Amino acid sequence: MMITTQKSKEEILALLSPYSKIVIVGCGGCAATCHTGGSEQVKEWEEKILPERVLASLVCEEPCDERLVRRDLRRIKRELDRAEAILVMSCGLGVQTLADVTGKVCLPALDSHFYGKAERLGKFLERCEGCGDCLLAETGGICFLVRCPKRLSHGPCEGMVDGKCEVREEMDCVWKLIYDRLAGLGQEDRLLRIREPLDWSKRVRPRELTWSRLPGGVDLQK
Amino acid sequence: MVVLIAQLACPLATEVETFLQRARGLESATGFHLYNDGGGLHPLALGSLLQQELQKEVYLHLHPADRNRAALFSDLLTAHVTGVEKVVLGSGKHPIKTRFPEAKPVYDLDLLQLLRMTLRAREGFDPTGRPLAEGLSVQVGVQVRVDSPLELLRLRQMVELGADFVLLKWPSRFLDASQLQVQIERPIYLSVEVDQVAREEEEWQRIHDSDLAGINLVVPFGKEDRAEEILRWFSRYP
Repeated sequence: MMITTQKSKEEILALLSPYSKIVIVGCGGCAATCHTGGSEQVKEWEEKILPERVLASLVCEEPCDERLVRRDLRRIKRELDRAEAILVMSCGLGVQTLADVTGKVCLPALDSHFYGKAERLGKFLERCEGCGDCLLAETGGICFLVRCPKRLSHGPCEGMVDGKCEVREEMDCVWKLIYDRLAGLGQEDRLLRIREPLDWSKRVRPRELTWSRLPGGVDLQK
Repeated sequence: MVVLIAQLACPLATEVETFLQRARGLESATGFHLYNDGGGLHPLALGSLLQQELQKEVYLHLHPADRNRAALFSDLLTAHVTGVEKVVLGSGKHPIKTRFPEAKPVYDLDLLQLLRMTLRAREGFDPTGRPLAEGLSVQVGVQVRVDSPLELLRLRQMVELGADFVLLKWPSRFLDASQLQVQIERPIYLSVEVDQVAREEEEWQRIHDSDLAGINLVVPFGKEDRAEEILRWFSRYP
């Protein structure tokens, strides 16, 4: 999921300062799990912080899905028409989707950080960067692109000391972790493969994916 | 030991004369290994000056921390036309450990991929596989630490690919350096900082007796006299 944190109250109030008619849209997905933009946080901003200025609020099931946003916004169409700005309590995907769909001023209440896994409540770890070429089968399920600060394909670097990372000395070197994992699985020979450098011509931003057929076989052209 | 390399960081400003004075003071060095990880003067420019003035071998340190493959290849071409034939490859310090901690880390290639690109250039091909007018005259070393089985595996891979010599960061607890030299059949230069070398001559003797091909002495600013003392001691032995 996308890991988010809430901006400071002062920062959000500064963003909202030019506007007196506001709609708040939260996120029922990732931001709710992060406790940054779910129903409780939306309610807090609506009732405690901006009681006189909020025309309506809703928690969209997934603000990053344009279809769901269009569907959910119908419930507050009248207030939305009158609103000067929308405070979006989701990741940047939600903010941009709301802006595209409504054409209104959309203000981010959250900062988006990374794709993360939840280790426990309040502790999230970056583990995937969506590179489009998953190599986890070769590395014992540990991604060096994310977990090595130098993104080395054939680590470790000479900065590793006692199995610790040069950049973050409290952290185990990811290549040590990969070696230990593969050794435990009896797959050390996977370390012998030499990888070509990444092909950045295939990673020009912004990336897009358009399917003509769903993975299950449904033809989307019809 | 016949190869006594003094590793010098490139100046972070324009004090070329100060740099040359430092190098002149290291009379016993047979070569200079020029390293730049802080946005300082380009080692090839300094290398040309050193070659002209002191007629000593220059080792160009290349690393991918602040250069993508295009810039690294450009450095290799420039080394070739300026007569720098020894190249030492490393991973380079992450920018956060340099004077530009806010800079974006590059690492378009890693050490092993940089080695492959360099060896292909020696064979006469650019990184895209297109032929060059001539292969580059270059001897390629790698600067590594070997403190674990995985590091040894990587070093073996680099030797199999064609690395010509190794700068082995000291201390290595995993493997004795002279044993390693026998195993990988490549010249090993012990890479050690001036302050890591004890003052006692017995230790210098132990390093000498380990039968390595040479020493790469990292000389911090202000340690030139001590470095020269160590290098002079080693230079007495053929």
